Amino acid sequence: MSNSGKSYQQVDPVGGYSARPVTILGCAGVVIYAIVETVIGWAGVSMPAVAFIALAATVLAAVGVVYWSSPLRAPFPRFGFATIVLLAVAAMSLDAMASWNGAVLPPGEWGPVVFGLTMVEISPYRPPRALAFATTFGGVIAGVIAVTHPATQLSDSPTIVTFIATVIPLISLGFGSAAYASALRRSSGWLQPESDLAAHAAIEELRENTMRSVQLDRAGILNRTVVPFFTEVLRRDSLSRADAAEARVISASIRALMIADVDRSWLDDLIDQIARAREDGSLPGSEVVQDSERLAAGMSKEQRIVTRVLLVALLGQPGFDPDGFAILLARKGASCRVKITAKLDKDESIQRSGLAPYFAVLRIVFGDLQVAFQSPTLTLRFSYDHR
Amino acid sequence: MSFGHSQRVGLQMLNRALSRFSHVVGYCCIGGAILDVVGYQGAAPGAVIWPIFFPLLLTFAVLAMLDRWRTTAWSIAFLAVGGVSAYLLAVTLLSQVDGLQANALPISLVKVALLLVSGSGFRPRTSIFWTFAGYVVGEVASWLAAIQENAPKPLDEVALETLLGLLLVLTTIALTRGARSRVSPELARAALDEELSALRYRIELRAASLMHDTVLDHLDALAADPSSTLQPELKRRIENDLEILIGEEWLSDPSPEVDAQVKPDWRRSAMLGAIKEARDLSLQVEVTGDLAAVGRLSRERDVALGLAVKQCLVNVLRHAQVERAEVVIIGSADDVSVMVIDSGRGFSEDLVGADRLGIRQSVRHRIEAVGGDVQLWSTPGRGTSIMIRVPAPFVLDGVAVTSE
Repeated sequence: MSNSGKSYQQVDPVGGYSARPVTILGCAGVVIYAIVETVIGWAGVSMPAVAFIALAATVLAAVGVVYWSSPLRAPFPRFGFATIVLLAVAAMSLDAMASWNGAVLPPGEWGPVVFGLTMVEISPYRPPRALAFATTFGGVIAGVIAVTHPATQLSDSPTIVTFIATVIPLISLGFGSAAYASALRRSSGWLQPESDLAAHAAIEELRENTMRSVQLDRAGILNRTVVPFFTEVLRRDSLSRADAAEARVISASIRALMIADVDRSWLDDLIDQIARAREDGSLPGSEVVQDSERLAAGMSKEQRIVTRVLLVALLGQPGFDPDGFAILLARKGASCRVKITAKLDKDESIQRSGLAPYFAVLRIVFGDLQVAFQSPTLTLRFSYDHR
Repeated sequence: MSFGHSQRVGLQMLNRALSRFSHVVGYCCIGGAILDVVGYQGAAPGAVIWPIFFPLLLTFAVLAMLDRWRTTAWSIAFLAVGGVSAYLLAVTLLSQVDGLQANALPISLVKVALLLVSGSGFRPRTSIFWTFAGYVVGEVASWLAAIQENAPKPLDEVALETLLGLLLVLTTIALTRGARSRVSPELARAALDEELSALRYRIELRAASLMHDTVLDHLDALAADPSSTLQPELKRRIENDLEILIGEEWLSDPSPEVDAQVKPDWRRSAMLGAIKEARDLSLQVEVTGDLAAVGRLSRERDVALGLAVKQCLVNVLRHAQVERAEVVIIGSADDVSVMVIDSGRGFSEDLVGADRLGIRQSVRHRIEAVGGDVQLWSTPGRGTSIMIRVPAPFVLDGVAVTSE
């Protein structure tokens, strides 16, 4: 999918995650606003039951936003968005209906504002086009309500003024949200090449060091046995049985080293690297990785990066118990299933909140991520297509 | 997907987006106020409301300027022009339309635009100051108009609710930057580590493949040589390879970006070099197919393909017990495939010992490292076919053209 069809959450999962506190606060604010407005305007309510249902629809929409914006459910599903839009439209319509026989003009209702604010809350999680479409839909409904509401007919204000006053809060907040989502996504795209350039420059700097390090490793192996042996054979220009036997011994020792290397994956290297970097003897080594078919090699670059960042964070969690740590990769059809288990001797809520940003990022890359915490064991399951 | 924006960059993105949100809401509010004025004028043709269009249109224009250039000067200009417009609008409506109060919606809309737009594009703390400034200017404008027209001045709920909502959002943003600041650097670090890991893997793979093709090859030849003198051809190759291995350039990792631009002449490609070497070792190699397609390969892929084909031909010489092999080259829009076929004794890949690294290391891993893949068909007694596929998109004026 091109970036134009993606939400900010999909383009920048960390940004999407960090927007969530504002979303939760916004949802609470919307519900409080609807309740307060209902109480203030209670005198104009002619159908109390309908007013309560309108409030219930608002609460449900807010709960839906909080539920589907969770990092564990990312990316925000289309079905969830459609449900929330329909609930917001229902709340707006029912709110107007509750005072249908009263004297309250539609601009005095809270429905359009709640609809617009709901779009604001969802803006980091859905593509701008979807927000603009939902706003147009909501705007049409609000417009119809404004024009057909009996209070509009009885009012001294021109109908167009009532119409605009009803629709403007909804469309300004809705289209503002679409513009907000679009700007966030575009900024993310513009800044990416800069990040890439910085990373590229750092890699160029380290390229020489990496080559030198590999060179030294290999030169150490060769200089100990192979170079002296070849030099001697070439100098003598003859072969003996002892030479043939020595050639076999050297060959076997080099093969043994190469075989040990050849079946190691980036995941093995990563786990060993973390243990080395932390200088913590209790941390596990690559023996915890069970990947007999070398499936780790089939992960894309993006998948490797998010798996890497999760594992670094997991092994650094307070209360991480090396004994319960395992990574299992198994093939199922054309996909590979990954299961990571870790024992974490801390309260579940602490672990969840500490790891939540990582789950958010992981969930965007591995859409089927499942997180289960059965104290003290955290289990993560996800899969990817094997390339 | 982006990995690891810094906190500063994240804040810039957020400011830019909030600014965009505020400006669009501002356009809608001022546009709504203009349409409201149209409505009132239409309902009372005798009233003189229309002159207010001009300050409102001017406010709209200054907003467009501010949208284009987010500077303090334009923010001050917007505050000034918007404040005057709010005052004139309030005076006009209060004097020309019966029953309106100073908190009428068109006036509120301009005030909302003032408090939203003024603070846009600044850091959260500065933004809060500008937002307050916008609110105060709007309130003072409508308050002065109410005094002038001797009209009641009830509380403007819309403007106050917008102010409180905006302050809440800005405060929350300021307080919740921690999540990004913690994870972003870690993601950036992981992305860099992944690049380095891939780089190291490429270099180690090259080292391992080269070690297999040279050192192990020669050691095996020496171990199996029954004669007491060193064969001249073997001696020449050992001398040659020893020189390379002692030198420091054998692991140099050409930059893939630069490398992709350097297309080899297929007549001097590493693959044809490998075929020539095999012929020198007395293997008859018949080459057919689209030879020119090899010229589309990047240098890195050309070298990897050449070394892989060489290993296949060495295997034919050493294990197939035939003196003839066929190399077929097939060029498609996206890749180049090379098939090495022999009618020798064949083998079962499952039965090949774990210590035999030729196909695994020198062919399969080497080709996978440059984005290709390898397929092998072999039946004991009926020969072996190895298909090596390497990506090689057509390039027109520097733009890759794929079959999609």
